[in-house]
Amino acid sequence: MLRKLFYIFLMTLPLSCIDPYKVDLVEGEQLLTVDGFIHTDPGPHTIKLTRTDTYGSVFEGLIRPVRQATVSVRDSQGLVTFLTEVEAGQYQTPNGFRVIPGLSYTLQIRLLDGKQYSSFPEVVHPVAPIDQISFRSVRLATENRLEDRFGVEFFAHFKDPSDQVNYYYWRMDPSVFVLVTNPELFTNPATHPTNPRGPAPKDCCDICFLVEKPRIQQFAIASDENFNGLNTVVPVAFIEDNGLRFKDTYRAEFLQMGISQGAHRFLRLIDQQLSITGSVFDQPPANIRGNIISLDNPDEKVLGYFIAASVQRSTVYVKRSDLEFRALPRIIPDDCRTVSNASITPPANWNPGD
Amino acid sequence: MNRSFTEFFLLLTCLTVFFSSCEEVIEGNASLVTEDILFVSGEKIRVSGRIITTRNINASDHGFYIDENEAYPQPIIISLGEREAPGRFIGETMGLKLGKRYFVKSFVVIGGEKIFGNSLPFDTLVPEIFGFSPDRGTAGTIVTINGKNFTSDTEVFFGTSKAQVISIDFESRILVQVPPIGTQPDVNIRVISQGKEMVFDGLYKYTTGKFNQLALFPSTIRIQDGVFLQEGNTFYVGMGSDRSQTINQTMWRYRVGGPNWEQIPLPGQSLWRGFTSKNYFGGGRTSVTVPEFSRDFYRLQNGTFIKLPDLPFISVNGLAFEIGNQLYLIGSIDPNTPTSNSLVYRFNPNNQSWTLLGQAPFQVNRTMINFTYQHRQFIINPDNREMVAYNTISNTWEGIGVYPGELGNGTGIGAVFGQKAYVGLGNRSIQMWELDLTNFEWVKKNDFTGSPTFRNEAVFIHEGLIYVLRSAELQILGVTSEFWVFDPLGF
Repeated sequence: MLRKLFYIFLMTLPLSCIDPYKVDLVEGEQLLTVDGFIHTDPGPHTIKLTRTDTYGSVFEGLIRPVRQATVSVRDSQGLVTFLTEVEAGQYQTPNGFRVIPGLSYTLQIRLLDGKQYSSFPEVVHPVAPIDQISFRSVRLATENRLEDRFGVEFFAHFKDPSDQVNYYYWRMDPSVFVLVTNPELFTNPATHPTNPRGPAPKDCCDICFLVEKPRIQQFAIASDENFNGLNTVVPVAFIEDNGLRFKDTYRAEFLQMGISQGAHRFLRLIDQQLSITGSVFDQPPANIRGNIISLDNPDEKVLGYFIAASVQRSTVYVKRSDLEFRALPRIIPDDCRTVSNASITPPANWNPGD
Repeated sequence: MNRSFTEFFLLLTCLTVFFSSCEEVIEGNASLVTEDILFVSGEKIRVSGRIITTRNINASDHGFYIDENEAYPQPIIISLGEREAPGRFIGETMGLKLGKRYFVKSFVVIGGEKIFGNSLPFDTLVPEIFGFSPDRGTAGTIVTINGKNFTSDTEVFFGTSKAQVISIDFESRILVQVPPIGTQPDVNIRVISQGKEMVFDGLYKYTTGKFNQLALFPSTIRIQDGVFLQEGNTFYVGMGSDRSQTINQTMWRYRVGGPNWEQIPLPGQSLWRGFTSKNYFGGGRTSVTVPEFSRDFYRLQNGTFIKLPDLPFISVNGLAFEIGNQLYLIGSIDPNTPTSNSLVYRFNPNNQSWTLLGQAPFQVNRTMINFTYQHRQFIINPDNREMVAYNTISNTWEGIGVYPGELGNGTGIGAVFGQKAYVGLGNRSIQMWELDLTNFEWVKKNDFTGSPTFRNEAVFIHEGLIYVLRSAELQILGVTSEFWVFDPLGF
């Protein structure tokens, strides 16, 4: 018996309590963050003002909107356009406001506490029109050999002007695709009193239009140092095939913007930060300084960048038959109108052609 | 000995050299950049500079030089004082001249040595005006002037009167308080920045309209719900009740320019709440307390009240007006039924006959604001303030718009001069409005300066002026009726 107790005692010896290590983070600064851009298309254009908060392993704080600020955009000829706060922290230019290439624009902010901020002037450079948006289907290998990823890569074709240094920035407007569902496969719920999970086909509707606005905006940038004055093709976006998007027709609208060198540098650094994968070769995480400064304290850190750009647009329709690789179609056995944001009415200017 | 000493000395020297290290001398020169011009307006510049070095600089001063000449012979110096650390600095100055080319360069003083950055040229801007709002109002109204590049010494004039500048926001928006009216009601607005004068094409229109009390009524009788008529410059008022208590048995006459009202003989039996137009009156009741109706009907002609054939119906509180030498009577025909309250009759003086024309779209009575313009009678429905026009030619009704002002408790004024109608001053309201009858736009006039607890009991129009006899409300005791004149264009 004593021997057994002795063994039990020996077994408990290597045991110890593990105290969780609590990291005491320094209270983070609540930095003013400016996000938004204005361009040559008719407004309204939106500028968002927020305050950062401490980031930690547990819930620390919220990103809060900056309300009741006086926000204006001033051009190099002195014309001031006041923005209106339409939502908390979101300030909009009047309808129809647009920037003029050749002029420079400054964002002016006066907070409720009287602190003033200004951007460095952003010169609006003209941008070459998009000749064409082309695309190709892409098949990507994954760690699972049986499950590849599929998607569509888009390319902007344009001729870069040779007489100036150009910096390009591409974004997408919300895309629209034909949502195909299978209402004829609808089945009763499991709680159905007489025919649980039994077939109950619906007459309508199998075709809807779904507007998709990604939570994280994809973007691409380029400078013309390698293609100055040449006809150029640049990859501008990759849209993954999730089994629904390319079941019928997908519409993507691209904005090709001419931006300043400073804006290009800022976006390049943002792109680098977004590409961090945890590898030892990654860029170190950093606060990227933008072009906003505090007029009361030039050493104050202000995040974000105010971009003024000229813009050219192009729309492309991708049909299922155009794609070489396609993901397995996803089946939604219900009326397509039950999908959030789906509508049977085509969006404005929906014209996929033949 | 000497050799040993020499060898020892050489060894010591070698060791000293061997163990000593080279100490790199840090370059003390800092680079200075005049970075960017953040802001330029007519008189102000905001510029940034940057001191680039790897160590603290302990500068005794830093800032910017600004001059019209690139050699900076007489610079405006923006001195930002001592600075220890390198980095960005921002300078700002006012007092530049409009539309001039300037040069700016940064400087820093380190160890008594002044270092300059690169020089940047810039042009100051010139002010412009774009618009102002509101474009009409009273003295004291806050007007916003939009433009750009206004200087801090900007002055604003309304005509010849200088306005108080309340604020100039972002050099593009001026808030001014409208000065007291001068010699003209419509004035131009001039904005002067650093001597540059800018004038708006459009005029600022002061609110006009002036009330003057002519006299107190010469009797303690407070006529209410009586009749009032007019022949040229002679006004008549009388009958009705005294404070709605007893029937008033008096009639009065006023000639424009005369000192006051004078009493004249009553043309017949007094009536209360009869209809009354410029030349006709009739109907109503002969008692305030007992429902005894009158069918009497009179016409004023050459200073004489002529009795016409009795009315073929009973009318109490009806609204009467004259268009095209015809008398129209609407509403309040007893017995008091929904239809009788909106019946429209016409009296033809040639054959002295009455014709029933139809029905108004709502119940009408004599306390409603109404006025005549061309062949239409405009009536404001107190239920919804909608202005409705009755076309006497087509015998049709048409909604025209909505009266923007306060109606009060009825008995308001409606008067027309030329193509403008003047409406307002209902009981308990002090508002008067002008309606442009060509485009139906409303403009507010100056408020009434007397007591609002009176009711308009008689209204006359003569040579662009509106004469009003006002009697205090029933519950106010010991107050004589007041006789006022309103000049719509007065100020």
